[in-house]
Amino acid sequence: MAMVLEANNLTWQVDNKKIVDQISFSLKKGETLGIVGPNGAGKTSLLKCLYRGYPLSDGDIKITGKNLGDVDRKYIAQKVAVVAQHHDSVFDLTVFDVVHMGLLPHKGLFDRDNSEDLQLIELALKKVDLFEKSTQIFKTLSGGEQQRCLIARAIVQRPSILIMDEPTNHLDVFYQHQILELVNKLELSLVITIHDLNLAAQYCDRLLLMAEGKVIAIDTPEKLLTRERLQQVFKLDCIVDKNPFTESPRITFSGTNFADLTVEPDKRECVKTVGIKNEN
Amino acid sequence: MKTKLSTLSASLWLISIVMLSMFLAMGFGTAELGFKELTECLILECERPIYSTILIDIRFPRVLMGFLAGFALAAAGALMQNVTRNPLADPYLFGIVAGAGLGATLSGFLPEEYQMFTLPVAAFLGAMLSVSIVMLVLMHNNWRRIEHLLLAGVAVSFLLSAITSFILYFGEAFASNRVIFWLMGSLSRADYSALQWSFPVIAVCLIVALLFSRQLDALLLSDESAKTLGVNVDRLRLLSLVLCAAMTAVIVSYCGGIGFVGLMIPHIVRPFIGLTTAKLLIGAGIVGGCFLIWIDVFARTIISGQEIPIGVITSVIGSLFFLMLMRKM
Repeated sequence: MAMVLEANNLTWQVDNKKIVDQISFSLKKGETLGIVGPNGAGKTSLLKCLYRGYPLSDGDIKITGKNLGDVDRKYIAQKVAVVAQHHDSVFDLTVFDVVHMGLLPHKGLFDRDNSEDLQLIELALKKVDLFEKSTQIFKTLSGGEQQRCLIARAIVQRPSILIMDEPTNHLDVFYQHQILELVNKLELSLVITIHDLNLAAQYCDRLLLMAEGKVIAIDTPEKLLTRERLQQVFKLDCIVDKNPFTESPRITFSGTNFADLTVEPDKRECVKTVGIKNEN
Repeated sequence: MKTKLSTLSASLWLISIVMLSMFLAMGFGTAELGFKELTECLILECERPIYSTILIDIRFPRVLMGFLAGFALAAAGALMQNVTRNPLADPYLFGIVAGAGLGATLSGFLPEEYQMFTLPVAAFLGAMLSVSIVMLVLMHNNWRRIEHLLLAGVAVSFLLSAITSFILYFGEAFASNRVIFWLMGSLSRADYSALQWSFPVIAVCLIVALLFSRQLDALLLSDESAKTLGVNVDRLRLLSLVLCAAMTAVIVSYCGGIGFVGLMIPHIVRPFIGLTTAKLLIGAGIVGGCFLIWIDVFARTIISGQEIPIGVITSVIGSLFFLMLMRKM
């Protein structure tokens, strides 16, 4: 199967400190890859390297067969859409204005919008269920709606790959699932950083676990999410069983009180005191 | 389809306001030439030949220049606010007026017979000097941040004003007066040659900005998001600031200091026509043009037989507007 993205030996360093350290992976067409790992692991930096947000110190990236160093920004923007956090606009951009930006990579200086463009925007807005809100002010939307608006922009951008940085951050449970289901239906290749391992296990085809800039493992959620590995990376004890609804791995972490990893869980003092209390 | 209709009606509104403003502004003035005579001149024939001279050679270029100056200043302000994502930005922050003032002062040392021609040129060069200093200082030091731009502009303003003051202090009183009055801003220098020089500069700057309007719109959300859409953010911002500087400098060099138009007008226009760059530049430009036409009418009629510098009026209105805006933010 054709690879839409091949990263080879990616390294990005600042002042001799390697933030992203020799990472290699590839992404199949239509696949969803989740990047997981503790804070400061370099997840967001890795994403930025993928679309040339940061210059590579070493290694190379191929997007749909072309080397990232040999193509211009416009080509990258035609192939890769990014939904990131942190927008600091003080102006009252409407939902339409934001989605309209997605046309940019496909337009030259003298091109104007045609009826197909407007149709594309309308379809994208309907797909994310924001058509009725197209004249609303972007920054007054809820977090989930803002994410959906940016996803609509990405749809208009017509990329091969969609990169999302923590798309579920600050969202309540319903919206977390809504967003991830929505992007999974788009038939794009996805690269997503995500904190919640259960969400990652449920919605990603493969996971890339990283710590301190390095890859710990790349595999399917079932194979990657093992107790030993998670203990080693997250410094917390956990139990891995199955989500009764989806059969995907379900991880339950202990608190930091239970984090004495040298003792087996069932032999720990406090585990016994926290069982379900018999009220009678 | 809804957007098209509103664009059409907005354009019709704006065009009729421009036509009406220009017509009415032509009728105001010191001579006994009022609306009755103006209408006669336009429809039939002028009652006296002197009227057509006044209308065609004095009032018409002045009204046109007022429109052009207001257009350029407001469009430059809108562009600068969008490109820096800061609603308080204004091309005057570059220290343009101080630079132009220094240029105008230095031109006083040239032989008398060249001065009428060289004052605008010298003022333009001075304005570009101050812009270059600000940009050179900030080029390697986070020049993307508007606060830095503003502070560097203030510092450059003080530096160049100090040099100007020093020269004027030792200069002859007549020349000093000339520069000081010029700095206060006036459309009285407006003639066809002024229009002939400033119109092409402004037209070219505007067209370039409009060609890049899609890119400029992408900047409105955040730099990061514009980059992911394929925009070379640093280069685009530099280009836009140069366009703003050129538009402002060419106006300042003919009309002197007319402050706060660029800051104020985009704020008034945004609620009506939105903030995407193409619409905002043209809308703010047209409203700014009409605004300045009327300020000029006010300046030349409020005290009979005397003219108030328009820079004084725009600065009073603008600074109060600015303070109110800051209170709301």
